Amino acid sequence: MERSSIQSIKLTFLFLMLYSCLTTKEALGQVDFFFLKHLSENQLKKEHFTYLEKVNTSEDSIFYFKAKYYLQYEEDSLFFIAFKKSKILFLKDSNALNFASRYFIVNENRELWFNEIDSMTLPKITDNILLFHKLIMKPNKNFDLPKSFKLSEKYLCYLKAESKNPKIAFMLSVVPGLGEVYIGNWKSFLIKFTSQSILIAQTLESNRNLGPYKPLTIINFGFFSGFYFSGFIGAYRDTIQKKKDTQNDFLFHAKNYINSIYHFSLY
Amino acid sequence: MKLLTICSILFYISIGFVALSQDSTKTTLQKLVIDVTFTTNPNSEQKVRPLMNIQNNRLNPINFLAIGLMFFYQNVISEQISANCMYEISCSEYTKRNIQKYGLVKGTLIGLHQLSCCTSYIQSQYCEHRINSNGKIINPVN
Repeated sequence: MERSSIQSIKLTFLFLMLYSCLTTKEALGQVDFFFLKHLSENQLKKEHFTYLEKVNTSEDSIFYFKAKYYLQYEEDSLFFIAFKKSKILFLKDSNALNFASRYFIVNENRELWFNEIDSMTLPKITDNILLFHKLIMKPNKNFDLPKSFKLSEKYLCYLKAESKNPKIAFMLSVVPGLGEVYIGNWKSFLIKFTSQSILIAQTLESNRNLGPYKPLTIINFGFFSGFYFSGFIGAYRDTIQKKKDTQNDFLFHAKNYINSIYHFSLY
Repeated sequence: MKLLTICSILFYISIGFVALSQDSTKTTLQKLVIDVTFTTNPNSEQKVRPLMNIQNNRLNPINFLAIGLMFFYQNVISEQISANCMYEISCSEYTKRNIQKYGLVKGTLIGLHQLSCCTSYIQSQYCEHRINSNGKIINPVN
């Protein structure tokens, strides 16, 4: 046989092999895991989505892959819908569980996610991440946290902020800025106290020199009273915000700590 | 006189040709310099700030008046004094949104509280995650 004819037979054979592979996969509805991994790693979002939409396979596994897709591209509500439809499969995948736990530890849907997986048998890494969530949900003074990444320090800050009562901060604001001292915002206290002192001195001065019913006195008094009463509501809101901030700060440090000791990959 | 007129016309035409030829022989470096010099700076563009989000508003006339005043401040005074707020949502915008959400009294007081703390000195008081990439303090309206 001639050389060219052998080559053409080889090519035809290869083509037939490739065609049969592709058609068989479509017919059986198997998801090409390595192709999905490639799409995920290269962040080919559109192609990834199109592939998941087109592939014809069992509902359970397609929702499992969709859940992973939504998790990667941070579409939380869609992730939860897909997760609930493929819960059994998803909970068996330790990579996906770890990835999701690491993602949700600093997410607003943290509570929802950890409530979903709380009663399940979890892999070690997810279990460690869950510990941080539990520390937030039930503040515990006898905690045992690693000293690296200032975790203990941040948790103590959180505990301190958690013990503050916004109503007390509100009442302490009778003295301008004292409510801010109560929650540890010394810089806010200095600014508020100084500005309020200047405003009240200005009001008293104009009252003494011009009289009480003069426009400048009224304007000065308006400014003083506006800023003075804003201190009450400000201290109240700052106390609540401080709790959230210290909590998020602790969780961000926890996430950094987790990232430093474990490796995460979705596929 | 006719000759003078013709000469002047020819002179102006020649100037035009010279200018055109100069324009066509501009080096790439010259073009680059011109482009850099006359390109508009995105930071210097005036921000377009809407009056309010009408969907969520109950159209209380007093609130509407206060928001209108804020709108006037933002689009006329603030631009003139080159106001630069330390917060991600500027003090005026924050006040406006809070007035819309909580009403005139509470909204104004919340806005005044932010205004009284609006200095660079206070920035170190906040956690790292409350500071955005532009160095501004993140202040969600909640």
